[in-house]
Parts: sequence; structure tokens; C-alpha cells
Amino acid sequence: MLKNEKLHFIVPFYNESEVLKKTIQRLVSNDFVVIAVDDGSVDGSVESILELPIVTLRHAFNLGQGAALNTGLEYCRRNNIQYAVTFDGDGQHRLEDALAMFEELKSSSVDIVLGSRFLKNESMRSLPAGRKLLLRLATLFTRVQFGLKISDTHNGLRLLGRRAIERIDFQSNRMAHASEIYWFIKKYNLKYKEHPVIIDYHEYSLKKGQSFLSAPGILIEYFFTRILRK
Amino acid sequence: MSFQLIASVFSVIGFLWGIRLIFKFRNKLSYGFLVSATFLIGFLFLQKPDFTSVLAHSLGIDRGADLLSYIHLLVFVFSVFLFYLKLEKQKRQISILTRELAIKNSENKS
Repeated sequence: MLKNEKLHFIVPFYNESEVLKKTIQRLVSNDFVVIAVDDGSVDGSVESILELPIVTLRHAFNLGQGAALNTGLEYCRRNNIQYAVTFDGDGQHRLEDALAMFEELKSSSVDIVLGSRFLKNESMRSLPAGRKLLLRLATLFTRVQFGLKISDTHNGLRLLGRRAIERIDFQSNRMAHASEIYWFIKKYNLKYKEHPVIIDYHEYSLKKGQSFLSAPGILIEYFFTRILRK
Repeated sequence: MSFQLIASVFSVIGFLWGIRLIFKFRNKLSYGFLVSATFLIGFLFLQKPDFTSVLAHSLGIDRGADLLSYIHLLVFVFSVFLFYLKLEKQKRQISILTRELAIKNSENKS
């Protein structure tokens, strides 16, 4: 298998020194290519992964998760990488889910496989009620706006084939990219499929995650992204 | 010097600045028109203060001063919107530069 045909993990991170090394080491030990995108960390995250055999891209300062993901995708576009999975640096995604999504993408003719927490009950157990409601509302917003049958927006685990890598070029620097991706799917008629995944919520990831207070900011960012694209 | 005179001079300067914007940025005529129209209306209201009351009544507003407050609020909100838009555009340009630098200086140990 050519190197660019292997599964590449895009791992964006910002101040994740507590868990980053463990997350990446697990991927590297399974012989995957990791593209770690440092979004201006100042807590020694980058130093913790320096000796690992990975690709490291560094933003000079903090731009946001959307920008970091797009940097990883841009690297993939330029290096003709065929398969990329977006994988959070805080250790809440499962490698086995990514692998199952990879099999799904290869066996079907879709361009992108989207992880969904709402297709597997097990994933919902550790999700706080407030977060669940917020995700439901975000999903409803996306469904109404794009008319796409999806069950979980704002799920960071996604697997992109080459066609999706070429076309998805996030303009939202921060969290609005999670809604923006559906704009690309709709515009370029990308074939998609959802795959049940389990997100391992632990105290650390919940502390860093989104809350109701983030919602207005995401909506405003999304609104301006749409205006500027016109 | 009365407040009316000082404000009138300020309005004329603002109006001329708006006209300059129209000629300088022909691809963004709306900016220039907005600025010049705002200062022109301000100038007219300063010269004929009673006109604000007449206009207010015709719009169903009790007092001319209230009308001015509403106009001020609208102009302020729109200005913030334009300012934010400009800021977003600059943020995008900075993101592109940051991305280019990140890829150019990438470390590949894989």
C-alpha cells in the first residue's frame, strides 16, 4: 500500500498536554500516520510529542479548532492523501470506531463517513442532559437548514475520502466548522453515511467541551461565515 | 461658538469624508453613501431642528428627539456589523498566512 493511501489521523490540539501524548502514541503504535496540528498551545503539549514519529504542524498562535482542522486538511490536499480522519486530541474518540468507519468508507461508495453518538445507546449514558439537549438543538438546526438526514452534528470524528478532502475547505476558524461541513456536503453533493460511535466522556473532556454559553458565539460565527462566502 | 455651529462644521467634514470614500472605493459605494447620507441628514436636522418633530410625527413617533435616538441606534448597530465583517475578513487573511507558515515549517518524522 502506498503511503498516501494509508489512513491519516488529523489531530488538532490546543493545550492538551495532560492527554495528548497518550492519544497520539496509541495511533502511532498501530502504525497510522498522524498529522498533529498544534493550535498555538502554551502548556508544553508540543514538547510532549516531539519524539514521536508523526507530522507536526504548528500555528504561530491560537486560531480555533476549525482553522486547525483545515490546516491538517490542506496538508492532505497538497500531499495527495487519500483518506483522513479527524480525531480529537483529548482522547475521547475511539480508535476502533475510526477503523470501522474506514472499512465502511472503503466498502461503500460514499465520500465521507460521519460519526454519530445518537445511533448507539451506549454512547449516550455518560453524556450530561444539558449537553444532550444542546446537541439535539444543533442537529435540528442543521437538518432544517440543509435538509440532510443526520442525527449528530458537532461530532468531531469524521472520515474523509479524497473527494471530501479536496472540497471541504473550512472558513470558520472556531466551532462553527461543525455546521459548515454540511454546507460543503450539500453544495458538492458529497455522498455521506453516518456510523455509530462511542465518545468517552471523562471529566477532562467535559471541562473543555462546549456548553450552552458557546451556542450564541457559534451561531454568530456561522452567520458571518455564510455572509463572507457570498 | 454654539453647539449647533460646532456640530454643523463636524457634519460638513463628515459629509465630505463620505464623498471622498465614494470616489476612493468605487467597489464599495455603499460605505461612502452611508457615511455621507448620515452626516447630511445630521446637518439638515441641525439647521432645522423642528423638522425632526415633523418627520417623527409622520412616522408615528411622538418626539423628534426619540426619532434621533432610534436613528442613532440603527446607525450604531449597522456600523458594528460592518466593523465585525471587516474584522472577520482580516482574521481569515491571518488564518491563511498562519496556515501557510505551519505547512512550510512542518516537521515530518513519520
